[in-house]
Amino acid sequence: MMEYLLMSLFILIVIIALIFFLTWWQSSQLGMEQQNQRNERVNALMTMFINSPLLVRENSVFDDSKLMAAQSLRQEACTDLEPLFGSDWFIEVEILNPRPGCAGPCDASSYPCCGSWNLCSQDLRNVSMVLPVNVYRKYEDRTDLALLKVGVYS
Amino acid sequence: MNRKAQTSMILIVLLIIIFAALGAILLSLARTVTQEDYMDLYVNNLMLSLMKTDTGYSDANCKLISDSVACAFILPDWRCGGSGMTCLELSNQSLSEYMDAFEIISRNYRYLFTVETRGFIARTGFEQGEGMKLSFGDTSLEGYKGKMRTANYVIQKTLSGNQYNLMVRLYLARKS
Repeated sequence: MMEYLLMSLFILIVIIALIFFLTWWQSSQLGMEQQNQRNERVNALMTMFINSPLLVRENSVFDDSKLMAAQSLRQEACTDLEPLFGSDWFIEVEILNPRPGCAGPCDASSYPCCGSWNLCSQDLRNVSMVLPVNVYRKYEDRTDLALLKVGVYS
Repeated sequence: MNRKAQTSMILIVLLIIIFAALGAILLSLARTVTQEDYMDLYVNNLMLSLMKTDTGYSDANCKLISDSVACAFILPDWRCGGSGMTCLELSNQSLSEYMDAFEIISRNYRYLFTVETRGFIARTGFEQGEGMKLSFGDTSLEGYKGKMRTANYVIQKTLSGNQYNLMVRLYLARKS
């Protein structure tokens, strides 16, 4: 009698463990699928940005004057670019080896002695990835190495 | 009675371990696929961006990193701007400086750049039959048989009236 009880208890525990495992597996799959979709979107956005004539001069070479123009429009630029890139994204471009004293964010007063731009940045939770790119500095007629950070808000 | 209870306990623990291991394996497999795509894009763009970057010299042989690499291959003793670094020194310095600036690379990868010709090339300074190849970075990767990521870049350059087609390859291998 005791053996049967023990066996039933064992089977019950295995079934419960299996249920827990399947539930955990399903939820982690869903979470991972969501994460994958976000990553794929970031990847797709990266490819779109480095090829978009709105911001680049040639493939992967951003034009600092185009970045300045887009940045100066602030929120308006994000709305205007929504039909092309969708919503809830941001980009940051940062020069890797800026000239001494020119590492700060670019705006109308600091340009061209500046080293970073950002479009549509918000203080929200996000998923982002970085990619090496170039920035063409119009005033100095030189191409600098930079890091592009593209993210989507989760 | 005691032995049966112990056996049941061991079986339960074993089953839980098997489920956990299975889950961990499946999760890590799925994660690898996404990272692979991203790293392919990263490595290709790294190569492309490095080659297009300005060195700070206005000399046509040294203006971009790709110019200095081509010059290091064809005219290694050429001094940039007349009295600056040689093309070989400049290429070495720029490539190592910029590669160290990328956190993903400097933390996790060893790298090697190789420069070779595509097809026939005539250049002084080489013995007959000697292989023409230039390397920057970790040269131990040349015979490395493990998994590596690679990116290619072709430099087309005209120097002293001769046209050259050079193939630059970047090899990245995970640090052990």
